[in-house]
Amino acid sequence: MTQMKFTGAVRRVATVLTVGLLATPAFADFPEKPVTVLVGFGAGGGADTLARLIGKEAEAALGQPVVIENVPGGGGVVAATKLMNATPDGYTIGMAVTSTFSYAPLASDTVKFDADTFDYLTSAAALQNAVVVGKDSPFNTWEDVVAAGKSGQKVSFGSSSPAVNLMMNYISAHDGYEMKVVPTKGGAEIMKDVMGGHMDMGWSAGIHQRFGDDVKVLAAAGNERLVNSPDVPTFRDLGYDVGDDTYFLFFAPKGIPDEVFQALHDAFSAGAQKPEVVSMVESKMGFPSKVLMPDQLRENVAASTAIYEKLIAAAGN
Amino acid sequence: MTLRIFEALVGAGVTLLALGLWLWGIPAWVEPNDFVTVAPDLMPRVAVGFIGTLGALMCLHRLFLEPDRTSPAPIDPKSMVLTVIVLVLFAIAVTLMLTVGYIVGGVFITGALTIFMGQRKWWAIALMAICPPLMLWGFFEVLLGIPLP
Amino acid sequence: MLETVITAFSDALTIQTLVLIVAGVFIGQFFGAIPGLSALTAIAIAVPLTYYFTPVGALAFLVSINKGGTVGGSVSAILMNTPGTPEAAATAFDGHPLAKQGKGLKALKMALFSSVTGDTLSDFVLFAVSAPLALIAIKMGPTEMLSVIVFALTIIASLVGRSMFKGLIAAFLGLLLATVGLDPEGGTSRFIFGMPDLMDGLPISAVGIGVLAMAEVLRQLVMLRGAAGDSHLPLSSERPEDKRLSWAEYRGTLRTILRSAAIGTGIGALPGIGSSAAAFIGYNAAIRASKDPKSFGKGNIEGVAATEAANSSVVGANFIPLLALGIPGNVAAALILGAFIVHGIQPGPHLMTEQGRLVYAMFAAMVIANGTNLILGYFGLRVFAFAARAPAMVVFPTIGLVCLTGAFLTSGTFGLPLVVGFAVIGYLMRALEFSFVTFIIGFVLGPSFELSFRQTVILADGEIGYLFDRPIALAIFGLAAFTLARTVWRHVAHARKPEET
Repeated sequence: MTQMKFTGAVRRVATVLTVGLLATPAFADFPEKPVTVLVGFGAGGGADTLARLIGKEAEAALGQPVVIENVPGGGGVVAATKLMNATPDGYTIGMAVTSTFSYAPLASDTVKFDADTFDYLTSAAALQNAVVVGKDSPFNTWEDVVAAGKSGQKVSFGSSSPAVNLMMNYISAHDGYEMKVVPTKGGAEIMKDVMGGHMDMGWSAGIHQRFGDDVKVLAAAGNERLVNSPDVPTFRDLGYDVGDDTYFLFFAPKGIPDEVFQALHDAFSAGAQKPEVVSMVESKMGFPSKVLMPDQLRENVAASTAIYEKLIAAAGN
Repeated sequence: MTLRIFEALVGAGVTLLALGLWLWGIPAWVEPNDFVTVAPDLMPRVAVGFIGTLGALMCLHRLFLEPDRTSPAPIDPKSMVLTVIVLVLFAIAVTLMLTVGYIVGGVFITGALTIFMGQRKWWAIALMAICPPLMLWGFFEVLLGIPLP
Repeated sequence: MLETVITAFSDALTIQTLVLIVAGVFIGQFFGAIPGLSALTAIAIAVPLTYYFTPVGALAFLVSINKGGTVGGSVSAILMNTPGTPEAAATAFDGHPLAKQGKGLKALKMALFSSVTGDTLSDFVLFAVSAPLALIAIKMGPTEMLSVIVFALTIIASLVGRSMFKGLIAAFLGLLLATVGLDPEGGTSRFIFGMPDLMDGLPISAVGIGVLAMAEVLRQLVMLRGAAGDSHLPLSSERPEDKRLSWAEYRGTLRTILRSAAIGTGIGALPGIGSSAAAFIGYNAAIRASKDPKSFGKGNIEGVAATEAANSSVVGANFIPLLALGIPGNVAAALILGAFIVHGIQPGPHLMTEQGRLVYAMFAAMVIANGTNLILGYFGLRVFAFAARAPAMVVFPTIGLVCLTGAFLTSGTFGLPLVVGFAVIGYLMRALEFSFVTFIIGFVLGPSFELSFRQTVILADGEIGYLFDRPIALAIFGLAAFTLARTVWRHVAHARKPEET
């Protein structure tokens, strides 16, 4: 324990020594001091865990400590707002999810940034968004839900965020029926409510994988099928024009010098691809490890923004 | 002023504040939303409504039903001034921490409070000003690697 | 079964795990005992460290911090009257008067013994019947949770203090402040004044530190100015019976402890209500059952026992929904859940069958941690009691700084101005004799209350029949109505009679 407690200090001293001894031209450039990662979610959650795992690998690659700072709030918005005003020197970067940049700026005037305010470094993993029901539910496929809805039954749906409300309202409106979309605290709370029969269906960002046969998956909400339920159709397969792929991603304020950006990208994306990290992410956390390039991430955020613009416009009518 | 009148005034003040919040605060600060089942301002309105009503009831109760008509009001100007001083010191310390840094703000607040408490020996003030902030800073920033402002 | 338990104990009895347990309990007690810091701060700091431990070691360490914190939390409440968290607020009601009478050590010992007793009992409940209890938790839907929260609110309403008007105004102020942030259903903003930091609401830790600890520090600073060379506490009484806690005294409060432990365990098994409510309900139940209810709040040792047993037993029982369903009951449990997942332990219905050995090892670690808590606490109390006797001009400026530091550690830069702001509110409430207890409870239970209320409204969809299909909820609503009526009746009856004391 004593050893662990001192790690922070010892590591710093050690790095300073190493850097001092190995001061070659390559090291003399970026980074010359610790890099801070503002994580948009609280300590102990999925995003925080990923950031710390990958940050540890990036630390080795960069030769400087990577400090993880939790700035929770508004689904990553607080961290992104802080970063928006940070100097673009590469010493402060952030970590959040796709919807932080696509949905949040559209939803509230409080959000002062948009998808183009930032550059995206690399992604860490993909969420497994799905619609699930309890194992005793009469619904076995998505078609059962549509049939029940069209017959006049108002099915209830446990939602984890207003973005999910938008998507489910759009889907039910597409088929001409209404759902009772219930706000919840999300995650395991929704699993409890569908298992206990308090709600007919619920949203899961991947947590359903922990409940095995106690829940049934009806549909996948992304553009690709779920890794662990390949037989379940996506909403696109079912004929709805929606599909939102959500990634955990690292981002940085615009205007970082190219070589610094490249160094950060190399360090963090290599870290995310390390076999130890991949096995941790896939087998223990249950998210498929997906490492995208900055351009792909920009496309991902743009596609997601387009979808939410459409959903918001549809809800307004 | 007696306690009775003082409390009646407190009740009336609470009601006025609640009324202001109901009429101006909630419309200005609670964003309306047409797409939800329960309006966002329902819970704030319920809370503010009860606060206002209870304040008014308290005012009336103290004016007409309170049996105790003699106790003096708990107003102590000296301690009020002192409290404001301490609060200003804390506000300055927070500003210093946010703008200059943790240690500067920390040294300021412990030092200033020690003087406030009546300590006049310079070495004792210096000791109190320097030791606690430095120990806390050392513990969190250096030992645990948590960045303080 | 027996074999699994034996293997589990041998897993937990490695040198590394034992060292981690002792260190964890020590850190928890230390952080808990310092006003402005709390076990939660310690857990938030420790979680990232535990990523590099073995699974058993990591869990044992975090659970030990949590357990140590419940004991430590009573120390600052009793000695300083500055509870670092709302759950220890009721400990100060009787604990601090005892300390003022020179019986600080006795109160501390009572807190320690009742805390460990409550904790141990709830751990055994967790051992024995966590599966059936988790089934009950599944049966509790939004409407049932709403009824439980309303019931808890009505019980606590009897703690309004001398004036019912003021107590209720404070409670609704708490509810109002709990609505700050993004609307839970539509995501629109409420009272956030353009500040993204407020999107998730006012941070409970900053509000707690401000209203409970900082405001008290303010009061003490002003009160003790001039007499600053002295301590704010009298010398410990010289009579040995004021320092010791005899077996007979412990036996005498055993009924109270058991009652509070049962309350705490029941509340802990339901996610979303939490240890603060449990502590106040336990305290209230002890007053109700007592032959001498007037002595509470003036230094009745049963008040300390009732509060500490109730809030500590939540810690063990919180693991029931956590392990069985993956639902954390409070912030500390949410942090520990994160550590579970990092170590590849996926709480849920299949945890026992898949990871039985590890779960039993954790149980074993919990039992060992309870023992450690008792031993370390017993010796640590003297140190804290001694430290608290330092001159006021050393103690209170330092605590003021620690409060600021604690607010920063839990809520970031935004926590600093907030904690000072809430110190002002807490100070005004003390000066004008508004109950900060009902304020805190309104604030703590507000979000769960609003969410489950809105869920119920949406699920019912305008049909009153929905409510009649839920007999459990109806029964609990009935109890709540009864409690409320009785409280109001007592208050009115009491006000009519001339003051007896």
